[in-house]
Amino acid sequence: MAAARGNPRILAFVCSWHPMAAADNAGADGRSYGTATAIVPVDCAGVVSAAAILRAFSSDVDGVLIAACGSGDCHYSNGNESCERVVQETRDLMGLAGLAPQRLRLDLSSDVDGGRFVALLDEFAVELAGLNGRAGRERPAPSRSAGKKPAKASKAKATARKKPAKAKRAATKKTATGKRTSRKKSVAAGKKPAKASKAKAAARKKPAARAKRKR
Amino acid sequence: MFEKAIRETKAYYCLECGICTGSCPVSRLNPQYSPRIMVERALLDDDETMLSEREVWDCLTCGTCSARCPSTVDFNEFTRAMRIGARESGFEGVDTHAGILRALMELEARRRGRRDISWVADDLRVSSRGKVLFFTGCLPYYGVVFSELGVDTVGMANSTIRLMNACGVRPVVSRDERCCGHDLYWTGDRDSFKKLARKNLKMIEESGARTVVFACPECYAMFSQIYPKFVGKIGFDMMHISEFLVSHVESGRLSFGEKESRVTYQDPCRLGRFLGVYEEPRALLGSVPGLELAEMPRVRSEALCCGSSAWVGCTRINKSIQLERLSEAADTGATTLVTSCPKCNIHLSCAAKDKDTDGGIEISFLTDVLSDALAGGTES
Amino acid sequence: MTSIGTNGRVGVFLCECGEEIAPVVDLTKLSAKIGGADMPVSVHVTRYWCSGAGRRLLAGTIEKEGLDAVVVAGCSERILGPLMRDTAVRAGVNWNRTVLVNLKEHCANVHGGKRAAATAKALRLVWAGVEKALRAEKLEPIVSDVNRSAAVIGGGISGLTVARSLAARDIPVTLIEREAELGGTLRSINRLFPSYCNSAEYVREVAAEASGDPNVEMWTSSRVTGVAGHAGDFRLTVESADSSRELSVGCVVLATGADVLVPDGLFEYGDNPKVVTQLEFEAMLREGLGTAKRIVMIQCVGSRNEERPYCSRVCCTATVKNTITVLEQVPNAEITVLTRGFAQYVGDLDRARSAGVTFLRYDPERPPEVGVDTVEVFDVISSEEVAVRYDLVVLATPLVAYDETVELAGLLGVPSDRHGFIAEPHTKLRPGRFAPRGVFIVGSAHWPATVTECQSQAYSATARAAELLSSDVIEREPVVAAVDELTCRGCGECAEACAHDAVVMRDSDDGIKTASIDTVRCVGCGVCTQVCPSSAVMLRHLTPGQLLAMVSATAGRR
Repeated sequence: MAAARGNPRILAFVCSWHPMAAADNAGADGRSYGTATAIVPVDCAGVVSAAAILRAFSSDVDGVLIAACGSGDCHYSNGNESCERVVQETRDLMGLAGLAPQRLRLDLSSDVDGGRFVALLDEFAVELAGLNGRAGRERPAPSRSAGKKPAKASKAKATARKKPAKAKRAATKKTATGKRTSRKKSVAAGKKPAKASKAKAAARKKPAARAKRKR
Repeated sequence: MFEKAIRETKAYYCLECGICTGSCPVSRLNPQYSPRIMVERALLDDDETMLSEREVWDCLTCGTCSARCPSTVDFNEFTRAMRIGARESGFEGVDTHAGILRALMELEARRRGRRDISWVADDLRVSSRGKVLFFTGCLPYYGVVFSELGVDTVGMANSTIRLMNACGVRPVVSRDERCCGHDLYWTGDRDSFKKLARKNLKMIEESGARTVVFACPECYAMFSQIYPKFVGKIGFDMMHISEFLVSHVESGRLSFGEKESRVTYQDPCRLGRFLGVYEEPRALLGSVPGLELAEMPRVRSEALCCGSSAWVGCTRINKSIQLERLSEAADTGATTLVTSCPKCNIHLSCAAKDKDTDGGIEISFLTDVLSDALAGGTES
Repeated sequence: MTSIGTNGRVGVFLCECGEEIAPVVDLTKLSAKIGGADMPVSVHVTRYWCSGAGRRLLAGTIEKEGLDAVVVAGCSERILGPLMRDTAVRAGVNWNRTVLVNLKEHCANVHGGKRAAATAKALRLVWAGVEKALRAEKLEPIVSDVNRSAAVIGGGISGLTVARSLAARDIPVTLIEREAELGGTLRSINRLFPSYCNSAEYVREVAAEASGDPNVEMWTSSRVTGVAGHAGDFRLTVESADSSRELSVGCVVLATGADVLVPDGLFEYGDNPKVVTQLEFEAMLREGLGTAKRIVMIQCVGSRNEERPYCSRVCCTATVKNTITVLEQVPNAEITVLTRGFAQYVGDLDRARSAGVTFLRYDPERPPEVGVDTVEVFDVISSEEVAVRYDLVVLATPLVAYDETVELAGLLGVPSDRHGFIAEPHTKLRPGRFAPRGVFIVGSAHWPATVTECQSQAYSATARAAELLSSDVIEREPVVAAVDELTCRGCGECAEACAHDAVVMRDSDDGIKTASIDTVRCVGCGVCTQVCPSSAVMLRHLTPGQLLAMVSATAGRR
């Protein structure tokens, strides 16, 4: 396959609300991005399943971007929060399967600026190009042990195992390369491209009643 | 359409006695589902309409019917042939857990990438090449997906390694391992299954292993019964962890400390009816001083399936089967239900999770129970 | 079992979009590739499918070829989705089997000069649309009865006017007011512009008329704390001090008004007892002004600044109205009004000027300073420092949104702006039309409004509400989750995940609970589908099979 440097294959799930306005504006404003980047429109980021993300990777994409509305701005209340959990779980699985979790990026923003959308794609493309070539060939993986999901850990039952410590392994465990990078546990949602200075809409607060959630 | 499948599964010999339907745990709860009628319809060339029906995906492939069939019709393979046909005609089963597990298996089949094995506990000894290989299967992945159930499959893999270490064996845990393809095979995805099988066999060849040990009976059954059909003779020995450990207990190399408790044991379909391994897990439990094994009424070849298979079509019928098995287990008076299949563990834990009435029985994995006895007892 | 359902024929309609798509995407090559594939598709290209001629051609093609699914590959779904879908539906295609693919903003516009690559990508995008259309079920709209009644939230002049005029059309109205007494802000105002009538008396009359109407029920000392449902069938939870009740109505009018800013810390307010707000001044005027003779009024106190850049619109008129009232009460009063220039129409300005009111213009960079008995101000017009002696300083402060209104807007699904006001998406092109059907915003909750404006908006909302409520049934697209009850394992994960209380867990004969979806409450977000262990719940308008097929096609998987 063609080299993934300049034009990595990015599949972007784009929510139909704020992010789709940004994606549409990018085109309407005459901006440009790589031809190997393609958008899959979805009603809300909350409908993007781990299966859909993994299907993209088994279809040979280099990176998956999920563009969701900013925190508190979800048209459906909590689709973006739900997506954060799905993304965390998927990244954990990707790490185990030898796919760099950075290949999956979730952007939470209500900025409808097309320039910001393109900057986001550009920055992601650069990060992907820096990941030692094509997906699946990257250097070995993260150090956090499997089965320890920060996002869900609070719900894990106490009945589980008696020796949770066994499942852990310190970051110094030797591997083929002798080096390992520690995985960031955040969803990197807050990462913003350099040009994203006017996140004006993000500052807007939403009524508490919309955010009503049981958990 | 099913000519070949009918011939190979000996469906032609069906006597219409109905013992299959009478034996089927699904049929007892769902009158819509009947193995006998499915075979009859296939023989009557009604297969085209059958392919679009949801019953194609209802079979647990537990093998109870075939074990009792007077004509030894292989209903599991018959089901698999139907599923292949259904897929080709554009029908799929309902993938459980929003399809995440199928997607993972496809990912492993289609992509390069080396697994991360940093989940192996620090105090354990593993190697990248050697005579004995521990095939971990999907245990690390399940650790992510099922943590909310309180099922620690990473712990299962680690306790298996710990026991092997106790026997003086430092197993190979390979970063090039792939899913064994069991679930894709039984749900009719031939292409992906074959890709996985080839990658796994290559991995084992490169590791230099002569013996492959499995903690998961599904992987074991795939390697020993299905892979040879597609790739010919397998050039290494295979055994379940219970078989591996029993030989070390017999040789006196492995022994356990005192552990007072009353347990019961779930025979997994693959390990039991498929592979005939009934005694080794029991022997191991029996070798733990103080551990009492209370058997359920239906055991060994008569054992009731854990109620679900291959991450497809897990419904309230399946849950009913699981609840039935859980109460059978609780009725033995045991405090712990021991399984030797990670999936039995997951499925039964799932049903137990929101069981209104308190079944009160803990569900544990064989190697976890043994490893605990190890820690409390003998030096190795 | 999931059907991929490849039977049926899909029409692919490629749009040149004038000079937008065709110069970048090679539509000839694209249509050859699509038509040449082993798929049940027919391909059509025209200059503008959205034009009248284009839509007639689209409809004609659907009928001629007997198409039962349509993919329109042109511009943004957000722009043309409703129009193209409507065209296809009128020609007999189910709305769920009409798919839009964006070849303009998502392809041609962003890949100018890369014709080959853009064409290859366009092919993948079109295939994704075809895969989605092929797998799309025919979904019938959810038809529900229209509850011919309305809830009006807020008992000020706006809400009362809506209630009265809806009632006059024989529509039952429940008016919910959080205070014990009706009338809202007008109760605290002295006189109303332009009639100079007694404000409190006027609003009391309106309230009495509304209360006396047999079609109007007044729920005072009550608050709306929950909203579910949709146009034609809303369920409001209304709480009062000692009870909580559910109110079923067909539409909701939000007329909660706005608060008047209390300018703590500005121009000595709070420290100097001689500094009051215009609202407080209204009360003083009603009581009689007493000895105060020299009055300085300062405009735009707390507005048109960084925090509140907007003009509150009504304050200058109120100020001028009050100067005239003062001069009627105290003919020799000396009134100085310090403004920043008028940003809006101000009533009776000339009348005030000729009556002797002095207007000075101040610079926001050099705001007036309130001393012990003088206000010092730099008059921009004369470029002079002026010191004005005063007995009273009156501050005109803007209307600001109530927090409670912002919360209600959230419950109703209407976005509020960063100041908490609720404008419609197109204030000029489609005034009075809000995104959710059956929800209307009237009066100062919408934007600071005069009484006359509040009343005009109230009549407009009444007309629109009456139009909605005149139908017996209302149809909407079934964008909701659906549970396969034979599959559901009754674990309740979905109910726990749902933010809209749309999942109901019922007992079943087999002892395992069954989830079902309350389609009134469900918004179709799909959060439940992510947590269901058996995949028993799904969105029928975007099934897992559709999403996976779209991903594969978009990624160009063979």
